[in-house]
Amino acid sequence: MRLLTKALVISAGLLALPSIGQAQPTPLPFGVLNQQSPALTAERWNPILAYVSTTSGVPLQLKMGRTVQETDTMMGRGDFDFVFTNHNFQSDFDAVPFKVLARWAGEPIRAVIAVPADSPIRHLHELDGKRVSFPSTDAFAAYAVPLVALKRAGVRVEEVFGGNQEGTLAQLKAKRVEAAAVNSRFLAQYAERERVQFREIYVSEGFPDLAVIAHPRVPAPTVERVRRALLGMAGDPGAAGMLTLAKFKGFEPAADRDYDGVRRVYRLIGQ
Amino acid sequence: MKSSLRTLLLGLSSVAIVTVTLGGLVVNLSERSTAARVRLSEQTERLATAAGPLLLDSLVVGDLARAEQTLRNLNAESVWSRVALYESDGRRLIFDASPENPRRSDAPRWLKRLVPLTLEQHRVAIVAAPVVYGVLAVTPSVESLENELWSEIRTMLAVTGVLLVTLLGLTHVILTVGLRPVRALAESATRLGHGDLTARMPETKLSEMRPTVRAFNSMAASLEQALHEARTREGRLESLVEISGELSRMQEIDTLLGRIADACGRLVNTDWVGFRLVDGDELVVAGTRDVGKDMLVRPRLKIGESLAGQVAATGRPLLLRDPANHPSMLPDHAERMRRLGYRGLLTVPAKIGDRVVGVLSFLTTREQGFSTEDMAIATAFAAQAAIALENSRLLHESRRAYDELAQTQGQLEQAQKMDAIGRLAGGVAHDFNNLLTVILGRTDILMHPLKPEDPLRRGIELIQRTARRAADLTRQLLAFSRKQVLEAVVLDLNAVTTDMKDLLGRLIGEDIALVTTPSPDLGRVKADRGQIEQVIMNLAVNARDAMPQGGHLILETENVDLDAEYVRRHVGARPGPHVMLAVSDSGVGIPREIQPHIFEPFFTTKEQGKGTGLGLATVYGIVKQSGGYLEVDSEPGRGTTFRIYLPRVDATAPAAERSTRPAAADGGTETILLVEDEEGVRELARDILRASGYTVIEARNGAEALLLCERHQGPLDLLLTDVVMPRMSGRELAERLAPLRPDLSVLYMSGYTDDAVIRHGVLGAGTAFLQKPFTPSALISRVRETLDLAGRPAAPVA
Repeated sequence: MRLLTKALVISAGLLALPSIGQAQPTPLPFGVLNQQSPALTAERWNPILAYVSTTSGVPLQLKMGRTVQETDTMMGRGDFDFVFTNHNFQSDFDAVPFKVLARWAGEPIRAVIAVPADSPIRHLHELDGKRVSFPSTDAFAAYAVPLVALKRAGVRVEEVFGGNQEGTLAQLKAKRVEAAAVNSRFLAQYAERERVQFREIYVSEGFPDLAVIAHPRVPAPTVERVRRALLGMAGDPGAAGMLTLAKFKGFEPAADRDYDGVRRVYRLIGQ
Repeated sequence: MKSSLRTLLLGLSSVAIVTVTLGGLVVNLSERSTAARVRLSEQTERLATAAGPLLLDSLVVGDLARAEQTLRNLNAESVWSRVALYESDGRRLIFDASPENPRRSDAPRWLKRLVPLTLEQHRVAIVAAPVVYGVLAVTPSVESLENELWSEIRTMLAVTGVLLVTLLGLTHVILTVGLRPVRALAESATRLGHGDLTARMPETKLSEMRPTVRAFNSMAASLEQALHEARTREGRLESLVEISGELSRMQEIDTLLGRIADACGRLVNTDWVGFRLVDGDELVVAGTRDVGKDMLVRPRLKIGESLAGQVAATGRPLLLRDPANHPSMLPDHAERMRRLGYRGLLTVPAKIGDRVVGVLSFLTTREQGFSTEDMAIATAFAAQAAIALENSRLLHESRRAYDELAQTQGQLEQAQKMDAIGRLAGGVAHDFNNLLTVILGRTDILMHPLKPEDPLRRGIELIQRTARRAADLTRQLLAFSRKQVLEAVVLDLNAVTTDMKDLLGRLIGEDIALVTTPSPDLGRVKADRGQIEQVIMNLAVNARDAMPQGGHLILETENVDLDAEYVRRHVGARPGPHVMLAVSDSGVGIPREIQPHIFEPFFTTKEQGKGTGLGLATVYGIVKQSGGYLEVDSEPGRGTTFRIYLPRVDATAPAAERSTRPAAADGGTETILLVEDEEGVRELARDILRASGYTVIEARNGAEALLLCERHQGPLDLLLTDVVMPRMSGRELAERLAPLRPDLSVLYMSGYTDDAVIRHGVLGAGTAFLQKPFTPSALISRVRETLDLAGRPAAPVA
């Protein structure tokens, strides 16, 4: 009886949800860089995109590849009309003039090289010859920026890749590596969630968070509606519940030049 | 049909388990199937819900193949019979991931019929709000449920089986363990019944059986103990009977004592046995039996003192525990007992009637000491031992008496034989003396007028020498037959032997050393000195002849007391103080078989012509006639000792023992009454006396002499009479004449005499003796001497 009741409730819920198969205008693909698993990414971005779609009148649909590389490939191939990323500042994408619409609100992100709180390592040069984990070579704050810092410090480390920032810090927690490179925001979230204390032996300068960019083929009015919806989200009481639930402050205005520092870093590491 | 407790218990247990298990299974099967269905549905729902995020990852990135593979992986066990993903409307199929090989049901048909199963489909939306990416539809596998139920039933059946086997095993073990004491009880009882009294039940861990085991073992132990005691008692009694029979046979005392001690050890289990015999007012150790312990034994105990002495005094047995601490125990005995660990003492008297003849003492190291049964058997044995000892003593005394009797009888026979020989010799000697007196006297008279150159003289001298040799032999025969006349005087034998040293030295020669060991303070004897000297001479000659290669001749004297025991064993000896004269040599000794004959006259081991065979016979006769006793101790190769015992007298020897007779005149004028039954001798004496001037009245016997004396009115100065005469002896005659002629002197003449007074030399004043055969001069001299001693000096012969 309990199972039957559950089945009825689920069926009713399904009927109430907007269906992707309904006869509406074809939604524009909105790509999101693989910072989390696709499921978590969907849980975060589907409400945002639903809000932006409703507010702007531009239907948007979450799209992403299975990996960062696949997502970047899709971006380079033009599979997305809008993308939440900063990989477009790499030299590989210089040929596509993406337009920066907004950026993730909040403090600038910083690259952090952290060690366990009880580790004797206190300076970068002490990492020479040690194992250091990174999410992947595609990460900006978690790979490109720390790598530049290590090069500048003349330190050579054995690079270990955890797939994403979660895996990177998990390796450090399990002490399979002596240090891990992540961005400062994720480090704070992970330390709070896992109740683990780390010591930051390197913190980079601040860089603007990922940007929402539009493919050049998207008409300017559409881009503008979307831009307004994104920027208005933080001040819209109707989005407050969603933002609180997602621990998200909304978007801020951003311009292409705001990401010159990012481009410089990429160039320093040959990207 | 046999039945057993084991079969009964096993059967009942099995039926109970199967019934309970199967009944429970049937009763609960429906409930269990419902529960299993609910459980499977809940499991399906949880699994489908858990599959959502996994599918969402794939659906967000549009990777349907990965989503399908994820579902197939989740349903690898074919828990779901149908798995499908629909689009968000729930109708359009995205893909079907149902298992290609659905699970098969292992359940038997009876189970499917018994429990029909139907399961409903579950749907789960795959959502990342507000987007629905699809709907997952899964249907649980009935076969899984059936398998689960069947598995459960099998498990229950297996558990039932295991329980059954376990129960059967436990029952078997319990019965085996539980019945083991019962079987042991049966076996032990059977062994006990067959006489094996050592049969015991082994200890058991079953507390229920312990009282039974203890009771049985206690009963068996009591039975064994009782039978052991009975057998011990029986064995002891048998031993007692056997030993009593053995002891009742006459045995030597030493053997008997040893057997008594051994028998004590057999009868009473003891470590030490001591047997003491009553000797006067003391107990004397007669034998001990010690088992490896060195118990202190006092050879003599006073009756009444110490524990054994008290038992001997009271005649009552004594049983003690811890004897070392008894106040009556002698201190040194107590210390030894304590050190040797003796814990029990048993002392019983050996009695004949009420007379205690000995005491048996037993010691043991056993903690419990001796029992009253030990005391009873020891007391019974002691009585037997006492009888055996008494028998042995009587046997010993009988044997000794028999031996002594046999010895005495031999000695008596020998003495009688010697006496008979002596009488024979004496008789012969008497007649010979008369004959020789006549021969010697007449030849002497015949020789008197002959000139030295007269041819008759030589013949007459030959007759005289021969007659003298015959007279010597006759004298020796008389000496042997103790019929010679002795002149006994008080003698110091030390002086005699000392005086004879020179003479003996010459006699035995230089190869033989003469040793004299005179005893100081030697007593005196009364004997004829000349005869004693003759004795010593004869023994010395024999000793010399026994030491042809030289040796030692030892003369020793000593005061001795012959006691009754000695006298009893030596026929002829008399008790009292004696002086012993021993003559010993280191010669060849005398063979034992001829020792009884050495004193017989004419018995000699010397070559013919070298011995007369009268030497030792003479010694024998002189000693006997002197009131003494003679014994010989000789062993071939080790010499010979003659011991002469002469009665000791309380007198002092005269300074000069040889009497000095006044020189006699050749003749006289006195009147002499001559009495001699032998005509030749009478006539010879008459002729000699008359030729010397005397007046001779002759008579042929005593009666005639009395008659002549009464008729004779003139003086009568001397009675010269033979001693041995028919009807009236010479002494009797003298006694009868004494009232008639108080001043009459008497001169006896004889070859021998039975008269003890004369033989012992107790002659009164005026009484003299003349040994036959005599020469005319000897007769004249002796007559004159007798008359002179009586105060009748000779008147000049006309």
